[in-house]
Amino acid sequence: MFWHIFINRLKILLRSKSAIFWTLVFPIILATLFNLAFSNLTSGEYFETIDLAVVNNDNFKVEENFKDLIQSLSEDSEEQLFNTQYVSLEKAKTLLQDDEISGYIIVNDKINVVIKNNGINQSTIKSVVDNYYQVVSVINNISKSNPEAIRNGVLEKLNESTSNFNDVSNENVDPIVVYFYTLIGMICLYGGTFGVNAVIETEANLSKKGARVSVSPVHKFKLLLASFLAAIVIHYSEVLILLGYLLFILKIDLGNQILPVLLLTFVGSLAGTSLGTLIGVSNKKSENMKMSILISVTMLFSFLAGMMVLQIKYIIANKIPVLANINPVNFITDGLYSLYYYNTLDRYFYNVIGLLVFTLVMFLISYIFIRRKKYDSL
Amino acid sequence: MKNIIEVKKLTKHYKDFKALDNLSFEVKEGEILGLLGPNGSGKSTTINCILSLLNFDKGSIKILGQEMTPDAYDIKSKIGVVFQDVAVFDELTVYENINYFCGLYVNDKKIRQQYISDAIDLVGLKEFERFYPKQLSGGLLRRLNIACGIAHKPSIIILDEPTVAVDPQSRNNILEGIKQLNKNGATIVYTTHYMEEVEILCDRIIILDKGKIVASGTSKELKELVSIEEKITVELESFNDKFLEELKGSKNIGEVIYNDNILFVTYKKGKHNLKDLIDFMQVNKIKYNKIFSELPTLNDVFLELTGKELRD
Amino acid sequence: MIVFNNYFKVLKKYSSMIITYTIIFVAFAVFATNANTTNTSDSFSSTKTNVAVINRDQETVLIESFVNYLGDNAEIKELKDDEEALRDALFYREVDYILIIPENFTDDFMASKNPKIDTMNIPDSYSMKYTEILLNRYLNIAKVYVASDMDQVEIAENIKIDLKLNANIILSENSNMDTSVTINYFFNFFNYTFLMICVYIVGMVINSYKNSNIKRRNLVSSFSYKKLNFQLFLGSFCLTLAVWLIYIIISFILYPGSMLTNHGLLLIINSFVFSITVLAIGFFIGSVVKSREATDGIANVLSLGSSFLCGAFVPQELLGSTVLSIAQFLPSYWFIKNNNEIVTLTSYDLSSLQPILINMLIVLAFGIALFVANNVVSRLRLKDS
Repeated sequence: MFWHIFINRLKILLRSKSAIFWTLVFPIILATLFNLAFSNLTSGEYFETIDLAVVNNDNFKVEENFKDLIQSLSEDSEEQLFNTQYVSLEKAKTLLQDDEISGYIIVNDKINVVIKNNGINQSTIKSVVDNYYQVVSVINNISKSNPEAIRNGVLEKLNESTSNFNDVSNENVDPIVVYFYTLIGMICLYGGTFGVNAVIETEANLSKKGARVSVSPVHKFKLLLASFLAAIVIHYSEVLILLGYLLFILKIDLGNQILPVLLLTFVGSLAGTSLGTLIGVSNKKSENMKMSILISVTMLFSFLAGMMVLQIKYIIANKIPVLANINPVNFITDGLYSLYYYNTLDRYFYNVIGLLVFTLVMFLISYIFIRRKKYDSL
Repeated sequence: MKNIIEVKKLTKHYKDFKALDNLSFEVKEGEILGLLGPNGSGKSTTINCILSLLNFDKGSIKILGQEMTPDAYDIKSKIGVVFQDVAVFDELTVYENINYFCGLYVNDKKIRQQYISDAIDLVGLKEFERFYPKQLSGGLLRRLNIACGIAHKPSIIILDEPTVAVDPQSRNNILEGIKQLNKNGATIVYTTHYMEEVEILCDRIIILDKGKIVASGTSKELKELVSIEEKITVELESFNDKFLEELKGSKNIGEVIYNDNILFVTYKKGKHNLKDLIDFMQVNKIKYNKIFSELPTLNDVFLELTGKELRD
Repeated sequence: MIVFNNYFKVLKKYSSMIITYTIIFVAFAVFATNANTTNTSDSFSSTKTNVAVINRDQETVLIESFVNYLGDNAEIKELKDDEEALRDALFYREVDYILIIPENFTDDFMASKNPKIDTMNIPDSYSMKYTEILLNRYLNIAKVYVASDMDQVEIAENIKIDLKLNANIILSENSNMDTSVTINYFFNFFNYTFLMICVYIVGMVINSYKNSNIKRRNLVSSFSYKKLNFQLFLGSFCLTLAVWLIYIIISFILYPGSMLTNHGLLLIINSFVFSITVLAIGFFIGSVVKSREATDGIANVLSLGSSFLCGAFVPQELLGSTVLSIAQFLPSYWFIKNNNEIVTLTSYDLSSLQPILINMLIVLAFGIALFVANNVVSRLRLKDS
């Protein structure tokens, strides 16, 4: 009997084209679009040598120290900042006009930086020139207060650059992956469509089909259990397909451990089903209306987890942590993020447990409605 | 004959609205019981209470001598229900739909296959087995709906208005099918607001109005309750008030109405009513084109008992 | 005009959808406006990276001076001294660079022991390079002063003077310091909501007519197919026009200053041309697609897809070249490209307007092609039935 129901529910779900479209095809299309649109988004963040022109006039040729400085910063090395051309003033002007360079330097009585607009490249050029002036000032200062020191070679310290810091950054810092994590969270909650469907077609007061199965000699919980099992089998398979697509086709980094990802998304699938169950059983609105509610709620959760604007997730987590701690999409996103970004599993488990609690609460509230066997009206 | 279903003093409110008012009746083994009443008279509510889908305020319901509850699975397994609205899965074919619902009752695959093909034959859907519900017309859908409800060969079958909005061919098919099921031994409860169906089909009829039983009995018994014996309609060429008054004074006359060359006369009990009327017209040299005589229908019974038409 | 009138009765059903999408649209527009009003001045100002400083040492003069220096050259953000809080802040770009000054840093520094500051940053990024240039500048100078036997107070004072010396910045002719071009974001995002609303509703209405139409045509043969098509077209046209007008009104409410300019006028014309093409898309999908569910799916995929690919969400200059070469086959690409070009226009003679007009013609060509295709398909369908 259980298998009879289970197999038939599988058939029904597999054949509902629009449900499969929205829970599988649509997320895959979205993932592809994310991938196409975001692939270059952070590349703008990564440093490329700055195109610079220096007007090769007589003043520049005389300013030996400055010449050396520019040259050393333009050499092909780890520390290279500039890609420098030495040109005439006319040429420099054209280069700037055509956006071939970020700015040019012209040495007259002072060293001038000529630019067209604001930006980090322009600021970098300026700060290099600033630094040149400042070093001159330092030398003057010391030669006044402690000329001995200069002879002892203190000035060499001015060119040390890396030794001041001990870099403890993480390796994985690409925030774009989080967009895909919210997408995984969203598809998990879309499992709710199957949850809505399962309860509607079991509860006598919610649908004609529900009434029909309610008069059959099958225990309601057996029916529900078989329906949920079918829903989760179908939905989790969809999640796995999406994960496979993200991992192998789009090559999205999901961290190094696949098992925790599978566990988290499985619990996510349950959470989605539980949300759908509650939305399905708690009111007497039409099935279409319930689906709209589910999709709106999922969209809201996804938005709060950063799907449209990444920083929202950070802002919510810091300013309104309560909101982050009831949001299943956030649990899934943050769980995947912590697998990607952190080496420990503490935070991951916090999210798994949060998601389980959410699921449990949804099912418990649903149970209040489900346990009724007779209704006041149909 | 033993009672299959016993309903005693059933009362049910929807908020302030009294849907069932102290309703008592029983269904006897092997009969086809018709529950007749206009929309909103409480037919479906009665059915849903019997099936233990609805809470009710007072009263008791016993099926096969046992109190009916949502957990009475042994009773439920013997009941087949066909609800008013079509309830099938769009994603399953005709065959698969029947298989799914039948499978909730019958575990054994072999037996089930036999049952399904019997049900398909009964409702005449053999050539549509592989069709999906969306490809079926309204009448065929109704037939599928019935097949889903009765495929497990239940001994009690409850049908709630199974022929609403069905074409005549499908309706005949459905009514024939129900007779067949009854012949095969099933006890049947049939609700409808089509009096013709009840007259053709039912052994016993209960007329409901506003949640109360207005009358019950066989079709013949019910009609005897009515004072009208015969209704005669005559199409005339001319008529005048003198004749009208004269006719009203004749014996056994109930009501005389004249309008646009149509004369409508109802007779109370008595014999030779039609002959008397024809004699009257010949004597007075009244010319007539057509003349119809009708016996009273259940609608007249309902009209007389409640003061309103059965169909709204 | 039965069909035409009926069109607007049907429309009522979709009013909540129009409102929902418009709210999303306005929210996004407001967000984009706020996010992009970084600099409206016409003089140079150095870029400031967001830096967090966690001081685990004492509050010493040296550190105070260092932090003050940072405050002048970067945006200092307060963060909790908690490993995860710091790392999260960096990941979500709340800060670009984190400095963790260790215990005894000042003592070790003054003793020339070269203590190291722990840092977290975005490896190999502009912000990291730039911030480190700034940091090294201070630390290296301070080191020199330590080596020449100055105490903390002297160092702080001297550095303050040294770092006041600055390069001379000259702005070139045609410089454009104003980076607040948000008005094109508004019209770029218009691509998403407008496509979604119009394609969905036009598609749904046409669809329901075409499906029930076969019966209708058999029943009422006097009602010609051409007449029906024309009235449907008229209804769809009015709907598109009305939605377009709503969005133009919103643009005037949100950006009254920017809209009452030549840029604003060109943007309005550009969006109107695009609306005609959107109408054609809706019409085409309504006739080709058979089921309502499919119409729903296609409207969603089309509006989201074209918006992602053509730069409605992510600016075109940040899209990869493959993406852009695919996008050229969609009218949205030319519409959005045109928006971006319009707001950078500085003169309005024919030669500078020429590329703008060409973009519009391309958008229009897509629309005409779809109308023609729609006619062909409808005729073929007619023959079939």
